[in-house]
Amino acid sequence: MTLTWGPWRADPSANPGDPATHASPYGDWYETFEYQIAGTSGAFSTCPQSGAGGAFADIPLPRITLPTRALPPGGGINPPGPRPAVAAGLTAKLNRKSVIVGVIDAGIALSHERFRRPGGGTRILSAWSQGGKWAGQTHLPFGRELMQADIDGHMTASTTGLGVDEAAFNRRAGLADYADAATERWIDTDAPHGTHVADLAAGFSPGATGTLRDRLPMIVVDLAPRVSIGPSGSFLEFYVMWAIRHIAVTADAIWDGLYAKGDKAGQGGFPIVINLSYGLLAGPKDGTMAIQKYMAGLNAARPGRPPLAMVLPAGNDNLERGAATLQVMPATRPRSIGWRISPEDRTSNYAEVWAGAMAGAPVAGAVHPLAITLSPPGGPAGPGTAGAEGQVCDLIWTGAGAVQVIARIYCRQSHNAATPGGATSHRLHYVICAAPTWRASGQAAPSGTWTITLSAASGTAVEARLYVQSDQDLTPGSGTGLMSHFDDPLYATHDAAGRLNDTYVSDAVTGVVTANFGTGPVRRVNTINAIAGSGGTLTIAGYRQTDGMPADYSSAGQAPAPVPDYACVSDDGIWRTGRMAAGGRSGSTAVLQGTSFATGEATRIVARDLIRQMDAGVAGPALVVAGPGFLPNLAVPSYPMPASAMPLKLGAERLPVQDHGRVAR
Amino acid sequence: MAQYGRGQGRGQGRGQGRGQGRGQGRGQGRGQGRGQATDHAGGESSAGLSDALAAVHDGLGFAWNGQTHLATSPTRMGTADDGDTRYLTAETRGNLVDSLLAQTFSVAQSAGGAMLSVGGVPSVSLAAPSRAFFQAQMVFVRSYADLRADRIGEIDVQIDDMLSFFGLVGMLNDTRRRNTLELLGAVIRLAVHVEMPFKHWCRSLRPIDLSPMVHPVVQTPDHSAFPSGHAMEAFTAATVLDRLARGSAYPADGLRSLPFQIAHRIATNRTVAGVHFPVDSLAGALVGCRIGDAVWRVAHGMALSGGPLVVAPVGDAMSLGGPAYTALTDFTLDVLAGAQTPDSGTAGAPVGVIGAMWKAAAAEWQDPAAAAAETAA
Repeated sequence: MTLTWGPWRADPSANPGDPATHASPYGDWYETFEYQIAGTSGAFSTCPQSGAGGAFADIPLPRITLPTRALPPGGGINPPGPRPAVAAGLTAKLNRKSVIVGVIDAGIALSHERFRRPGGGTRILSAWSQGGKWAGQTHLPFGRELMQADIDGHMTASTTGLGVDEAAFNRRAGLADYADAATERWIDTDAPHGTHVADLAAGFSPGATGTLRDRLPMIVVDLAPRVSIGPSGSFLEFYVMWAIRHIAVTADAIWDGLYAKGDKAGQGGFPIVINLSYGLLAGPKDGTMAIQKYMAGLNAARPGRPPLAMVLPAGNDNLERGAATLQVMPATRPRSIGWRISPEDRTSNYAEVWAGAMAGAPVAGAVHPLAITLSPPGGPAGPGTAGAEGQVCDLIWTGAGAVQVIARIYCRQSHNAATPGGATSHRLHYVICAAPTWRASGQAAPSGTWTITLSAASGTAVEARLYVQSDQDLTPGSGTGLMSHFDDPLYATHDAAGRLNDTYVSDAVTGVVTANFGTGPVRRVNTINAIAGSGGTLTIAGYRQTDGMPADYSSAGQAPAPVPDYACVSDDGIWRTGRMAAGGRSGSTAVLQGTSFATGEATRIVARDLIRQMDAGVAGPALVVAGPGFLPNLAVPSYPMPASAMPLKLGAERLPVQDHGRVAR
Repeated sequence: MAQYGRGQGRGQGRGQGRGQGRGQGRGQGRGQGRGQATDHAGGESSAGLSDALAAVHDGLGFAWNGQTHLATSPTRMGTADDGDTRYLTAETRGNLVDSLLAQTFSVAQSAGGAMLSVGGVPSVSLAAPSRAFFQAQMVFVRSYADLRADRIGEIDVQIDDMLSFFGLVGMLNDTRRRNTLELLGAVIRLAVHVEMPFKHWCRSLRPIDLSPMVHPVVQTPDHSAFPSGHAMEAFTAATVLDRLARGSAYPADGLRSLPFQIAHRIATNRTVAGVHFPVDSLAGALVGCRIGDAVWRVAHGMALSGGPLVVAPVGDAMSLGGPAYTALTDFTLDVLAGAQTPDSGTAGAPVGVIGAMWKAAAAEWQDPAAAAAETAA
């Protein structure tokens, strides 16, 4: 039984020109080593996205894994056709001066009273369930869409003497399917994430007065199940791209069907604010992910329409030791960092190593400016050399008659345009994948402190940014998907007085705020959500309402990575953590904590500001998202520590708490 | 100890003799319905009190040579109405009711399972599904396991307390709804009386017997999975409570009223816990609804309506009388409603002990004015 390093070799999954084989490093590793282990291969299919039919311009997309039930007969993504007339799917008159609130999440309770109209019936115009059973809707790439009329019909059919039987509704509407083990049942739990977020973004008390409720109709997308998205969120960005596209296409089709007939076709539209309370820990953090390129181009792709705004969370992993910066010297003075992997971890662990951006279009086969050496606890160390774009290098276990890869380093390249030819800068990075440290069968990877050593190939120092990737169990709620972290003796989780170290520290007596990023390579900055921060998006941090201080978990940016734009309340207080909002069923309330929920609050604020602008006579593309009139029209709260003293955590300003029609805690 | 001994003696005797699962299931109905009366007029029985009473007897100094003093005694206990059991403690009335119901509800072995008869008239028969059917339903055991973290609190309580959850339908306590609690306790005990022979003659395996990956979060009981006792008891109680609370026979909105939703959740929680298949719950619920309906009929002197419901394997599916239930169908209230014959019978006058209990319980759910008018009529 030995461990050995193989050589750098060509990686067939790294070819964007071949949709059949092209996979992200995470996708390739997941398909090869984890997806099989999950034991669910029959229920899921891996599909090239070449069938996108030009939906995403020229951005080359890798294969993704989808629930087989969500695909048309014969499998494969359906190239989405034109939307059928949408008016028939609507049951209520729409206010022309509405803002469409889009929510992309998981576990959104469609029959919830917080999303209903004053007289009953839902305010949700369209709900696309990405993992839903294919129902022949050819305007969809996969999954199933319920229109407002479908939701209202299922609610009526599920109505008892006491109101809507929401458990029965969820089954009737296909949202909960217990005959299929591969689907999720978050919707039937007491506090599904999506319902809580959607309530903060656009929920109203049944007795709410005023017209605001009528002017915030919703379009929601329930993301594909976790097993599809992958424990590391491998495919998240692609599902989200499809979701954003769906919301935009549907909102525009509704407008066109109602108001833009004949010679007014294609003119005007609803402003759209989309809440995406999801994120990834690792990535380029420079706006070059496929989803970021797509989001940045969204408004340009809808000329003449009012803006579409994306609202994203800063992230919750500020203190998880998932971000490190190393100033790497030449080969004679390599730098090392520990990478701690827990025992009994049932999901793979991932880390990324990014070199700085280089000018010009990417060069095929370019060599990473950093040589990498990876060593599991006890060795062996390898490969010790730099990989080239499109190569992989494997750590191989050889046992009694068996050979198995237990870790792999991928070398990939990113660039700042849709296709390589148009790029003006490019970057090389490694993605390190290590097998689970617990496996029912097959060889597990060793747990403990792995060592990543980097050395610069040239004579000049190179700044390397390292990130641990998100890592969740495939089963929601399970604690077996343990996240790895960087391990460095200089990192102190607490200060000398026993207080938790955060990005900033404030002196309780003088009120002076000082930076407290960390003295070693592991930092409390640059922890920000990797899909946040591109053009056309707002990134939202979390703060405590009682004292205005940033939530410790709320992630921080640092140039060249983006910083949060604004902060919203994510904790009522240091003891009353989290925010109160809707639970899974009408009348229930749950308290959940995280920047996901600050994001829901921000979505509401941004949508209300667009309504304010429309009421002031602004229309069409002249509407601006969080523009110059934004903050002056909000009752921005005042705290002893100004947000400007903690910009990497709080962004430009704290936004006020909205009235959700609930009692205070 | 004579009177009080019943409650205690039973509880202990059963608990020891029958093991945990059973003892818990029973304890619930009994504990809730009884135990208000003290042994003696002013306190518990004890050797000291007996000694004191004897001392008082001696102290009073009467010579008694066996004479009678009839002037102080009525000819019989209670009233002339044979249905009136108000002269009994709740404990004793429970014994009486259990006995009367046991004489009326009988379960006999039939092909592949058992048949329930009420007053000698066949009501429902069950035959267990095939092993392949159960194997196919393991997908539900897996799917529902996703709700364990959410449901473990109620699952644990429902091992030995079902009635508290029916207390969500409306006020349930031993003053305002004393008669309701007594009746619900009695019908849950009746359901246990019915379910055990069914289980014995079906003796189907539990999920844990089909895979070591189920990892149930409560102890798997020793008796048959099919039919589910929790489902049978919960749906019996739901049927009775629904009719008491609403004063009508077949529910106006099918089986979707709150008591049935609660019963469904109690039954489904056993699948969440990993100790039951949906078909177990469906069979238990079908029988439970029949028991509840039959108690209502017995109380009002009505005959069973229609022929017996026959639940048995047919090919790869289960026949539910009319509709077929396939292994990949979940247990829902809609499936249950599809197998029930809506009842349009009008209740007759209350008959006998059970009728009097029903009437007293139903009166607790009526508006006082309506109850007074009914009494006056």
